[in-house]
Amino acid sequence: MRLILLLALSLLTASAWAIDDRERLSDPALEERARALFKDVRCVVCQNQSIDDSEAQIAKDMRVIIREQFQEGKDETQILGFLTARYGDYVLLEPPFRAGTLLLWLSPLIVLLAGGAVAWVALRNRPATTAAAAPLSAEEQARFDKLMGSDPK
Amino acid sequence: MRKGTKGLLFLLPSLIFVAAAVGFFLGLDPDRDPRAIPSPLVDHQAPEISLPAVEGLGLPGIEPAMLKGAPVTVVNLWASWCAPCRIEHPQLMDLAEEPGVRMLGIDYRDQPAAAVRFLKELGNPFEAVGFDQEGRAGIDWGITGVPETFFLDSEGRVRHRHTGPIDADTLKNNILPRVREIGGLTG
Repeated sequence: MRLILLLALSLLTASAWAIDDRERLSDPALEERARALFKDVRCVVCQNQSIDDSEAQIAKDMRVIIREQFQEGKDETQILGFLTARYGDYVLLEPPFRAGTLLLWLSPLIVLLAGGAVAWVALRNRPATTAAAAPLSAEEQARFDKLMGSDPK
Repeated sequence: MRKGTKGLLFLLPSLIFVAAAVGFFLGLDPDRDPRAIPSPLVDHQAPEISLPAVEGLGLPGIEPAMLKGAPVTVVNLWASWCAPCRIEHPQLMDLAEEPGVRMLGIDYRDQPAAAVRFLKELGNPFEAVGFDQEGRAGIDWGITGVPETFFLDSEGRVRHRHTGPIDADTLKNNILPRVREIGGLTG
């Protein structure tokens, strides 16, 4: 009895994964590819959300079109090409690596190299090692002994 | 370290400050819209799509051939449910009076009856209106919302795009000069 109840409950959660059952493709492999692609496509009216996460109407429209194109036999590159021809690179959540985005992609490396150079110069210019301390004078020695409590009473 | 390099190092914070100040100053430009997404359609051929007529409107739908021929073709994406479209409408009526301008509308995700009522109430600036029930034409034009307006030359190439409603000021200072430039009609 308990097992049946648990199974019934697990059926309820199934609806939580699906974006919208009416939108889904019947071919599970193709549906999986479509869902993977949704994660790379920016919802153009949201703040940094993919169309996989968005309930906006235009995100739904894009999901419908992407699923349709998968069904027509187009691949990921062709579909992303279709979208960027209309929305530009903005529609991609991960900017492509090319001349215009070179600075964007390489900036972490540049910052690391610059920081490394600064650290290297700073270390190189540090005085080699502090010269060995000069021996204490008699006066200093007396004061030291007093402070350390080793001076005879 | 050599004297020269050290002098340059002292200048570095000032240089960084100047670079940042220039960047911030450019960012303050009141004409800059940080949300504007540059349209890859500008300087490219307009999407060649056919759209059915709006039922009960008494105007033809959109055919790809309509995007060429006139000195300037204006394609306006609107909807009766869109409040900014209501604000923009008088400017579209003015634009339709401009010589050499062909006005085409795309009714985005709308109800035909509501669209007919909208144009009856506010006037009809369009020669033809295509009905985009499922928002497909919207995606083909790369819009993020309505209203959006595209300005095409006689070859059917997109030359300018305006996102959001065209207010009276924008029409006078920005849109009309562009329209005259595209149509080759100065003055």
